[in-house]
Amino acid sequence: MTEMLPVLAVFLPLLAGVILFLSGPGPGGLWALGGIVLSAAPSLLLVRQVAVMGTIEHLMGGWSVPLGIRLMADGLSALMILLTAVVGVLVSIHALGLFDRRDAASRQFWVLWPLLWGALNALFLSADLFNAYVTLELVTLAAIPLVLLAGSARAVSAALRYLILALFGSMLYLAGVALIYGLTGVLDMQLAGERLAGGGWVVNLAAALMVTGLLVKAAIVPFHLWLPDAHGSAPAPVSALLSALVVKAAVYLLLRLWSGPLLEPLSQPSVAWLLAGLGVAAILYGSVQALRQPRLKLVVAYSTVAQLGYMLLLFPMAGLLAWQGVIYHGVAHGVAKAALFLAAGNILYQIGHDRIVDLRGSGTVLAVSFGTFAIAGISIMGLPPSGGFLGKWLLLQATLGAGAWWLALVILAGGLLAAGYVFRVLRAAFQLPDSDAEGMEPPVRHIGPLMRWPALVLALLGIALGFAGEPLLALLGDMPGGAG
Amino acid sequence: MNLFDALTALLLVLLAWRCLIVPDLFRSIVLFVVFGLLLALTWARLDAPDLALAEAAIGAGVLGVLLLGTWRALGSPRRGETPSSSLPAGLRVLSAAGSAVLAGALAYGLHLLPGTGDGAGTLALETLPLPATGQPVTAVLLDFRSYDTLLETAVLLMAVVGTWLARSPLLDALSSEDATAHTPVMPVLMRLFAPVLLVTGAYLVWAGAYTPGGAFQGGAVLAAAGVLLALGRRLGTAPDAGWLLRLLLVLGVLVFIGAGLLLMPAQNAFMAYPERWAGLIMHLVEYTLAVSIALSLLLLFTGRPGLRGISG
Amino acid sequence: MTLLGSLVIVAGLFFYLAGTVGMLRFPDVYSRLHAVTKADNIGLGLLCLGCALILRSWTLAALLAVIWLLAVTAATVGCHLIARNRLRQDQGVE
Repeated sequence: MTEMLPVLAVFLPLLAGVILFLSGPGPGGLWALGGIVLSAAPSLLLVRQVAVMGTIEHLMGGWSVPLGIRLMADGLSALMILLTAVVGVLVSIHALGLFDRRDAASRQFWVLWPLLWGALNALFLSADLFNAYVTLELVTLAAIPLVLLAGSARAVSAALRYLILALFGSMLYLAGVALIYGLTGVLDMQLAGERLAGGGWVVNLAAALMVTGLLVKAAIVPFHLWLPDAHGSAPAPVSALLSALVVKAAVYLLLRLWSGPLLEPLSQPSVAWLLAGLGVAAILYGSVQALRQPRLKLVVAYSTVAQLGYMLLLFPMAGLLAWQGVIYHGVAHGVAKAALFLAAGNILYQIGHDRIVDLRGSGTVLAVSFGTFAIAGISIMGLPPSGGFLGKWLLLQATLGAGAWWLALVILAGGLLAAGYVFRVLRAAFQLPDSDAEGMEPPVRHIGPLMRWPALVLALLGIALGFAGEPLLALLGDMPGGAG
Repeated sequence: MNLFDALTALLLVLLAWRCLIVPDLFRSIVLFVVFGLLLALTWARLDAPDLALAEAAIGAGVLGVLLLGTWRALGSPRRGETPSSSLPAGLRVLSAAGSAVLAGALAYGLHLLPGTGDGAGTLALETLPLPATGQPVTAVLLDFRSYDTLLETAVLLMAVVGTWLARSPLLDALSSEDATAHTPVMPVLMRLFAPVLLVTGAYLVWAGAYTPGGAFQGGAVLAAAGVLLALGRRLGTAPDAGWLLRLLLVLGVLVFIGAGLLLMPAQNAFMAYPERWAGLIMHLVEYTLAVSIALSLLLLFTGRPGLRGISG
Repeated sequence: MTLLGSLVIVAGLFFYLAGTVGMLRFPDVYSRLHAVTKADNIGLGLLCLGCALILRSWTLAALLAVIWLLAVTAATVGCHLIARNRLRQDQGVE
């Protein structure tokens, strides 16, 4: 049974998407619920098995490498699959409240999201360079129609921009894979890594192409242009999934390549520092932009641009501490950012707009939503006790251990700026209304418990991650491939 | 490399360049189709008939039809009616320089590549007698790397659903007035070509197991028959897809996943088929995939979820 | 046979050349269509005939004949549709 679990984690969500496509029109909350259970169950079982038994492999079609494709679930894969399952289930519950399957568009959410879930799991399990390309495409092509669910012309133009840049990124990645195949004749990550030892000009070129492609997909500055619009104009559950999981899929693949086949070219000091420099630029630029945005969802979207930057600080550090810190930061950000987007979406849904200047006084009326926003903000700022704090703490220790004190300063500055943009929103919301006004008018629409509580649970999970470091880092285990 | 190949290569670059810079959208589309046909010829010259067929059917055929359909949906703009590229000149120069550097680096990189003898490709050719399909490309697509193929077929479902979502906010108000609808020659063309296309498409799928061809190529030709019927107003659109259409759209994926999952406990690996049944299962997968691919491509063209027949 | 076939192919190429020159030199859509469809249909026919003569196989000859028929039909219908479209445009302008 155990060796079947990776396959089930990929195909049961895909099957759920197909079945929900077949199930047709009409309200069907139960169908959707069934889809969630079918998708989440194999993921959780797989994570438990990896925690107990260590790495699990599956050879597709029974063909051994290099002929066939290998699936591999190690600690890193398991952690990402767990993140996807937890965020996925909670966002799905929120979506049950928003997308009730009564109209055509909301029905399609329940087709695309399980497909996206399966694609994400497939990417996290892939141990093959070309298969990783296919799954990355699948993730992108499921994510883009989800942006369209908003139904506005703005969303369509954001989705198209996303599509074009994402395709550009894929082309670059694919060109790199083609070069590696031409060089080694194999696509399996481990085998290719062994045959690439010694490096050379072509390896460097392939690495440059693949990494650039992934940076575009991960929206790292200066390739971030598509992200704020796409994440800002999508419906709240979609924004949450995109920011928490989809962009992280590209970063995951980058880490996977760094700890595997591309270790040599990416460990050259100039390359490592260039990547870290991009990370620093992303942290500073994204945070400053987040401070200046007029709309709540755009603040949250630019915050994603900034928070992704931290994950690139790994490269020059390259020790176990930095590895753990970066990945823990990614997980904590995923949980907290999903909470932030759901909370922002709820606020938008209730008062009909998300202009920050006009939020004045709404904090007392929408106490739960803004409370959720504040609690999730703690993890984003990196204040103790929270998952964000733990990730940044590990990363700080790694930078100080490596003597890169200025990187430590950037991490601290990023935290301060994050506090700035979170408190800017809260200050506007909890400011007392003008004395002559009657106070905040009642909400335009009310939200049900399905939409209210998942956001709060996610925000609290973000805090709880501050105490769950030990079991999760044990699951993550050592760095794969003995990198660093 | 002989003169013919050099000429083809030169023409390819020239066509791509022209396709990018002509101000008239319609010409650009036509040039793109010609580019696709020439690319198909190039694949044929490189002894890759499978790719040639796929490029001709999908790259030149289906894509050309989709582009022309979009052009018509935009109101058939001619020269000067579409806003030209709004990129500032500096950025254009920068992107041109970037592309040139990329092309140069890739060319130099390819030039440095050794010809490896012990890669997966060689191994696939050596292992070939084992699998049930004798055609090397089909064996890779449906056996060795069938997992990739399965995932790619899911892309089609996403694309179809995505078109429905993108279309509704933008194009619902569009008139479907069509100049080709009422003309005496269209029925003749349909009566003559639709059966030929159906037979050719079915043949390509069937032949895929032994000679170049397969579900993608055959499906694209089958879709062409549907496009012809839609253009001739024998096939109309409907606001919602019926259950049968939805089932046919995902039939290929369902059969593919179903066969893999059901046989997994017995075979201990996903998509490993028992030797006796392997041929049968792979044929079943090919045929159902072809139907799903054909319908998906057709729906990408019509742009609405449903289909209905119109009796003439 | 091979020589005869080659001669027929060269003759076919001549018609293609004529059609192309017409396409480039003629002043309006109608006469261009006239040049392309007429000359190219004959050109393709001769090309198919030449190939059949060289290959000396009845099966292939039949196949080539079918190809020619399909191409001729497609060209005819295409020509008709383009001409009609153009005619409508011209009438619309007047």
